[in-house]
Formats: sequence, structure tokens, C-alpha cells
Amino acid sequence: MQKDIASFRVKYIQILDEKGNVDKKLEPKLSSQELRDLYRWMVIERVFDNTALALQREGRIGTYAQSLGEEAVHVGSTFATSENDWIFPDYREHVSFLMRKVPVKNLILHWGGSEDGMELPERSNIFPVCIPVGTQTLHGAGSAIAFKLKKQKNCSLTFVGDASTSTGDFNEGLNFAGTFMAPAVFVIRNNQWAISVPRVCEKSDWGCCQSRAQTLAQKAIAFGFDGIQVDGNDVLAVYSVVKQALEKARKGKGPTLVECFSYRITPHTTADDPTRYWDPKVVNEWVKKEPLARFKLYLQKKKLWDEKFEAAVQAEAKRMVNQGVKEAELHKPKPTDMFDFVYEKLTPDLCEERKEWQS
Amino acid sequence: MDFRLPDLGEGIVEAEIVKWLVKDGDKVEEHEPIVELETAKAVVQVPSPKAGTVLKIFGSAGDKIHVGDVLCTIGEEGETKRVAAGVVGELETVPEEPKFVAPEDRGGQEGAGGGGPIGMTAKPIPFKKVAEASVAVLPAVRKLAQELGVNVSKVQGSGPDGRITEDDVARASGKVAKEAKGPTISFEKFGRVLKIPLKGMRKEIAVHLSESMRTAVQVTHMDYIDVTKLSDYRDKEKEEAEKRGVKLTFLPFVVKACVLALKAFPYVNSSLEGDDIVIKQYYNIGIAVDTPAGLMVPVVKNANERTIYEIAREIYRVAELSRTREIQLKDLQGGTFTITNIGSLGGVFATPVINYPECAILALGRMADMAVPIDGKIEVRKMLPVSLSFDHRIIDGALAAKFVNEIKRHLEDPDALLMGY
Amino acid sequence: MAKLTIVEAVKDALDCELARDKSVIVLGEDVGLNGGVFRATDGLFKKYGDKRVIDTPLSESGIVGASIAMAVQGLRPVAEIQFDGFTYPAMDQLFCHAARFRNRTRGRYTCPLVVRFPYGGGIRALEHHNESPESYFIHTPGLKVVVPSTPYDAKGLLISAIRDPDPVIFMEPKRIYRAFRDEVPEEAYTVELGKAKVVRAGSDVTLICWGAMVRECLRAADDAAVQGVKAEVIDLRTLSPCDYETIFASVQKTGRCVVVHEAPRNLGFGAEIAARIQEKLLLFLKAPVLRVAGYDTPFPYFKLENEYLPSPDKIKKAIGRVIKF
Repeated sequence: MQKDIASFRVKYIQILDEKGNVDKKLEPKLSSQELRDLYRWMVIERVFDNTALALQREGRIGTYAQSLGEEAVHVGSTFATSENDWIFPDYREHVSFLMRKVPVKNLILHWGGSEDGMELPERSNIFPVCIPVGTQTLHGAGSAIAFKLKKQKNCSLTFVGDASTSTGDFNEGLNFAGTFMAPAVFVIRNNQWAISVPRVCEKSDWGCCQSRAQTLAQKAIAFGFDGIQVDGNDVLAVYSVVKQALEKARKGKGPTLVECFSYRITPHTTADDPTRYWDPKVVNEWVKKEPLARFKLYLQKKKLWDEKFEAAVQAEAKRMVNQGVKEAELHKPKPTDMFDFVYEKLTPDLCEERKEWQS
Repeated sequence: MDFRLPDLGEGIVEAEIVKWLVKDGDKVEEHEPIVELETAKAVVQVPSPKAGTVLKIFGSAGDKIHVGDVLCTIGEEGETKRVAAGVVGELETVPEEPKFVAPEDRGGQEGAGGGGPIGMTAKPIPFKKVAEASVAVLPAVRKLAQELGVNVSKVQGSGPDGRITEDDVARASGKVAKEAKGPTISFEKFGRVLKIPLKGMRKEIAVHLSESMRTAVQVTHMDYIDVTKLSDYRDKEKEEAEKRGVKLTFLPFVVKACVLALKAFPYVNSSLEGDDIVIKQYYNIGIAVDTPAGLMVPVVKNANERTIYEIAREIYRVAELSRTREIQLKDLQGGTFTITNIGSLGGVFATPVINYPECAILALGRMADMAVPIDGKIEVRKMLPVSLSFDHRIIDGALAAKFVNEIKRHLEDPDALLMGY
Repeated sequence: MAKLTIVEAVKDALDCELARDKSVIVLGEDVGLNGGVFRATDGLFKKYGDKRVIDTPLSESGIVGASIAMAVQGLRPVAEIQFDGFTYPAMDQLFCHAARFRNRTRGRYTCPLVVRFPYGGGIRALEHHNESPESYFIHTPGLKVVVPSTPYDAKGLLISAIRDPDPVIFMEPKRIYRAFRDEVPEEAYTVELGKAKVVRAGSDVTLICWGAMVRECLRAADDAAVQGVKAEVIDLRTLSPCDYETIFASVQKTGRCVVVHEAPRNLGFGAEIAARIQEKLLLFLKAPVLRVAGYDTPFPYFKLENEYLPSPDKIKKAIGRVIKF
């Protein structure tokens, strides 16, 4: 006897296309202020990003990972969270920090090589930057499990890259969240590249790609919950889908995996040279699809955007970022902090080493 | 400012200039790209770290520059061209010389003082080391040899496998090993014993006094002082003193007399340091105090500048603080002469141990009425027995006697004490 | 003869072995088309194709676990872990399997694997990109640990590691990847594993070091020489198995020893070396064996990294202490 006992389906959602046309059926109900805020935050992210790149080239901060072109993923997702939801980033979600009221100064301090940057304000409810990719998935899952245990209405929102979905921790994290039906939402920032390794490979049957799964969203099905793919450059789609996923989680209906399909139009980090492996033609096609351009068109159609608004938003972003840079550059790290935060209390060894350093 | 080439990508040490995007005199904004460089990893555009005018660019297309080299100078608008210190870049100034630490000062010192990041100290620091061939010696023994000035490579070893032992080293130096081993009798053989570990102040005292006896050559000069007149004087002044809150004992008078004697015989107010007799020009008199924790010797500083009342008050103050163990270190240091009053418990003469490294110590016995022949007739006089132990390396018996006589003269005649003659 | 940097010498070694032995494969993240994030495999993909130089998905335990099996199956994998701080997920596979296969099967199955990665601080890198995890590997029986400090040694040692029948952890000091050039012979040659090198002779104190610290020790030795102290500098090159013979001969001669490493002091390799020296040479010591090491804290972000790292200054202070003991 033989019969099909399981099959799966993965939806793809786009609400706003590159020309700024909106799918009225799916258009989320956002107020004018909220729509303008979405735009504002994407501009802030872009201005921050451009500034950070320049600072790295000037030797004023260290290696930096750009988020140019992926603003919709970060802004849309973070905007959908409520204040009490916790966010688990890796290292590209700069604006998520800013949206949680972490000062620009902190980010510049972090990328500028000081742990003081990740001394986050209270109740920012966001984890520090995570370099070992994929490991944050377990943190998102574990936190969601804690929320459920403590009967809180909070959810966790975890960001991972497409490459992170290959790690053991990612799979373990999803499995944990799934088995406990924890209030977790996992957002994959699928920008098609893991430094030089592409997401898909059509030309041969041997390696050269991150995974042969048709979508990354479908990985959720293995763990018992839904996966959805959205246009990662469409902030309305990202917002809408993540919002629904969070609400579903909050109602106790379990986790969701949201794959934001986008493209990395910058080097992996400032230490990378993508001209060695990408096709400039493809890159430029994606530049045309970038999130801010289409959202601007959408806002224009809704009469929510004009030159004055643009100028004000740009000016505010520049002021905010430049102020943060200035403050960060005036900050002097305390060398004795190296010893004072390893444990709650200094161990005899650390006391001795601290004294030795001071002499 | 000189804009130096930063490390653009994790371990980059140099880059090649592809092309300059600005020239001398151009105005630039902060973050405006000014040059294109090729590194081992990628081609990058480098922006300006500040707004201003490009005063001078260094290097042209095809040139190799190293991280840290000056790329260009950016100045304020209108600033005259300043030539940077070439492509090599300026060397960082070497920081100020740290204070030189003497080699004897061993306790926890780091040794070679810095001298800048990779810089060299101008002053050569004398590393104390004994040049010797590899010799099998336990570290403790090696240290002992160093202290005794023995070259281990010249010592015959009597230990296992010809190993050089402590005894070998001690014999080679001709001195007894510093650490007195103590008797090797087993006391339990003869009966029950109670063992109490030597520690704390008791141990300190033991160590201090052992050192004193081992080092100074101690001789004691003894005499009686007729303090009858002084006693009457004191009785007279006692009440007034009490009114002023001062408990007037004989001690302040003795202190005063000692100071005058020390001034007359400065060699008694000295210490032997190596080959030098260090005569102190200050007079800090230590007063031995018996405290529950043991014997302490707080110091009355600058006794020569104090009146009798002031000396009395100070003695009281430091004695009290000693008994309550609240006395500060500075009041226990710097003594030049010590007085110990054992007479309160009885006793006549003694051979007190010098409070090393001082030269002498004066012990006061019990003052008592004695029958003294004066001009053929027996009179009852108040007599104070005193014992002066002194370091015979520094002074001789004759001087010691003269010194005691001087004290005597002042204590037997209060006028002389008051007037200072 | 060509003058190569360390990273170029690594590539040269891989090139030689890929050419010589068809069973040798190179695998890791971004090692193929991209040539490695430090360009350690630059050009090899083009020369040998995607069946010999393989880009893998992102998963360190995956890379090493798969490599272990490939090694048992008769291939000679040279797996790259992109950065020191990412070796931790691979430790499960290394400690539970790579280190134990030969012992577990009494030699029926062996694991001739090389895991190479850039290690150490000093290049203002991100968190987890500055670690010195050698202690974990040295402590695990069954693994060998090799650390070159010059281009000549890098090529020779890597070739030896690839030809070695046991799993070798090959740690490349990224701080000096490109810092200087050395003459490196074009042909394949080996530098024997398990042999230290006296890079500078001296009679007053022995400095023991590896990787990027060798240069720091040489700088400190230069300064000490000005003050009449002749330091002998030993570059261990292989940490496990360690050439104690060379160490003992030197310390017996000088009577004084300072071990320098970036890894935190507590249970850094200096601790083992110090323990062995005092076991063997107590009677020849004129001072305790000192260690100049990282503090017992996580490696700080780069603003404070210079406070943390051993420097010629710190090394000189230690020399001073043992000389004046």
C-alpha cells in the first residue's frame, strides 16, 4: 500500500512592485504617519550605512558590514514588533538597534572596536550584534520558550542570513521553537550570497551553492510550522507578513519562518571584493529593484511624499548620524574594563592581572 | 591634519595608488572620495576624514604606499601648505623616562623600566646577575649563594649526586647560614610539651631582636641617678599639670635630659649604614610600651622642639594608640634613640637590647629610696637606676659613660634641665 | 628564488600538494571562486577546478565532519575554517572523531586531515576574529598542532601536515600574513613536524614563542641585547608534539625562561611548558619560569587590543624580572 501522507506549499507574497504599484487586496492598514515612519527609518539606515562605509575607509571604524539595499527587511520586520518583543540580530541589522532607541553613538562605538557600544539602554529588548552566524537562532528560540513559560505576551524576532540556514544551530533553533510551539518568528535575510558562495547553483550537480532546497522558507516545514517567502525589497510585504506571524505567535499558534528574498548589492563586508565573483549585470538589475525607490513612488501616489519631506528626512538622518559619530569619537574606552566585566566579581587572578596592567 | 593610510581590510599592510580623485588645493567635504587604491584584496575608494582643503597629496598612480604612510594633508580653508614629514611618516615621540628603580628594591618590582613602545632606554639598567656555568643547585640554595656572594660553580657539592647543598654554600662563604635552624633536640622525649606557633607581633619581635643582637656589638653601662630634687620638683608641678589635663610622670623629664645629652654627644644619635656613621640631626625618642599584643615602640617626634607638657601629652597619646593598636605606621618609624621603663615592674639594672638600627637604648629601673653617703653622712635619697646599652662599633665605653653622665647631670639638677646648660 | 609572504607561501604549499597528489582536496567557505577571504587559495580554483577546490555551505561542524569522513575514505582533505573564532562548532567533530578514529579502531581507520585557519589578534578585526584556541587542540590527544611564523616554514610545515598520517591543526598567524617576505623555494619541500627552531642564540635567558609572537620576542631580544642581556629565542613551530629536547637544552644553558603567547594565561600552553621545565630542570633554574600572555579575559574589541596583547615592552619586563631574580 502506498499513499501520499504529506505535501507542502510555500507562498510568495509581494504587495508593492518596483514601480510602486500596490496590491490593494494585501495592502496593510497603516496610517499616514506610520507609512512616513517606515520611509524615515529606511532613509536613516541608508544614511547611517553610507557614513559607516566612509568611516571605515577613513580608518575611523574597523571592518563593517553594509546593509545598503536590504533596508526593507530590517525596517519592515522591526516595525512590526511591539516594544516588548525581543530582537535577535546578526550583524547587518543596524537600523533595528536604532529603532529600539539604541543611540547611533553605540553602533559607531561597536564597529569602532569598543564593547561600550553594546552596553545597550535598558528595555531596548534587542540582543547584541552576533558574529557567529546562526547561533542567534537558538537565542531567539530559547527566549520565546521563556516567554511562554512565564506566560508573557512577548515574541522573539530572529534575523539570519541565507548562509546561516546551513548551520546546525539554525536547525536546532527552529526545532526547539517548533516543538515547544514557542512565540518565535524567524526572518531570513536571503540576499543570495554567503560572501562568495551563492544561494543557488544551476550549472552543475556539485556544490557551488548554499543549499539545493528550492526555497529556504520550506525548511520550516521540517520542524512543523509554516514558511513564507516575500519580496525582500518590498517593505509593505515584509511588514505585513512579519506582523501576521507575530500576531499568530502571540496567540499561541507557534513559530513562523519568513524568507525575505532580496539581493546583496554591496560587498559582504568592507574586507570583501565582490568583483571576483558576482555578475555586475545581475547586481545592477537588483539595484533597480531597491526598496527605497519603490516605496517613494508609493508614498508619492498617496501624496505622502514631497521634496520638502525628503529634505527634512535626509537632514534629520544626517544630523542624527553625524551627532552619533561625534559623540562616539569623543568617547575613550577604559582599559580596566577588560577585567571588570568577565565575572560579576573580580577573581583573584583578575585582580592580580588588573593590578599588573595598572603598574 | 596628515591623513595616513588606514588598514583597509584585516591585515592589509600596503596598497597601490590607482588614481587620485582630487589635486592640491581642492576643497573636499567629509566622506568625499579622494583616492582609489588597490590592496591585496580589492580596489577601494578612500574618502576624506574631514572637510577642508587638500593641501598636498603624496604619491602618484602606480606608487606603493604602506599602512601608516601619509596619503595627503588636509587643512583648514586658507591654511598655508604644510609639508608632511615625507611618505615615511613621522615617528611617534618616545614617552618620558620612567623613574629608575634601584636593583636592591626587589619587592615586586618589574625590573627594566619601559622606555616607550619598542624604544630603548637611554640609561642602561644594571642587571645583577652572577655569570656562571650551568650548575645543578636547588633554587633556594642558589639564592643563598647569591646573598652570601658565593660562586656556586666553585663549590664542591656534598649532596646526592654531588649536588651543592646549603651547608656547602655556607661553608664556602665562611659564614653561618642566615636562617638559624634551632636546636635539633626532641623535647617530647623528656615529657609532655605544649607547642605554640610563633607568629604575629611575637614573631616580628623575635626577628627584630635577633637581627639586633647579631649585628650590633652590645655593651651596657649602668649607673644610679639621684632624682631627689627632680622628684620634689615633680611633686610641686603635679597638681598644676593635672589641672591642665597632663599626667606628669618622670618620663618627660628623662626624655628632655636624653635630648640634651644626644645634642652634646651626637654620635649616640646615629646609625651605622654600611661603612657610614649616619648622625641624625633630628631627635625622635622612642618610648617602649607594653601592649596586650606585645612590646611596641612608638616615637615622640622632634622631642627637642617640645616642652615638658607637650612631651608628656605625646607620650600619652602614642602609648594609648599603641595599646589599642590604632597607632599609625608613621608614629612607629623614624626613631633615633629609645627609652624603656621597666622599673614600674621592679628591677634595678638590665642589659636592654638596642632598638636596631639605633645606636643606644636607655632602660630605667625602679626608682627607690636608698641610703646614700653624702659628705660622710648617710642620707635617704631617691635613686633611679639606669642602664644604657650601646653599639660598641660606633661608640666606646668612655663616650657612653660621658653620655650617661650628661643625662645624670640634667636629671639631678632641674635647673640645668630647664635652662639647658 | 621568489620572495613570498606567509599567506602566499600557504597557497604555494597547497598548489604543490594539489599538483602532486590527486587525493588532496581543499575545502571551506569562499575558498573556491573567491580564493579565500585572505586569498590563501587564490587562483587554485581556476587551476584545479571545483572537484579539488570546493566551496562549501556555511557550517564549520559540517565542513570538518564531512572532511573527517572523506579522510577515512582515502582522500586528503585540507579544510579551511575562515577564522579562529569559528572553530568552536567544529570541535565536537575534531575531539570526538578526528582525534580518536585511529585509536578507536586500532589503526583500521585513520584520519589524515588538515584543518587550517587564520588565528590571533592585532589587525583590528571583529569579535571572534582574534582568538588563540591552541590550548584546546594541544590538550586533545590524537591531534597535532602546528604554527608557522615565517613564509619558508609556512610552506614546509603545511606540506608536512598534508602528508602527515594524523589530523593536524594548522594555525596561521594572520597578523603577519603579509607583514614581510622571505625567500621560498619553488619546489615542494618539507619542514619536519615536531621540531622547534632556535631563531636567535643567547646565553642569559630563553624566550619561547610561536606565530606572531616570534617577531615580538626578537624585538624584545634586540632591546635586551643593548643592555647586555643575550636572549635565546625559540620558535616552537609545532606545539603538539612539542620539541621539549630543544627547550630543555636551552633552559639548562640559560637557567631562565619566559614563554610568550597571545592566548590567555590560565592554561595557556606556557603553563604546560613551565610545568615540564621545572620537572626536568629545577636544579638549573635561576628564576621561576614566567609567562607573558593575554589576560584571563575575552579578547577585547580592537580599541583595547593593544593593552591585551603581549608586546616587546611586556616581554622586556619579564626578562628583567628573571635576570634580576
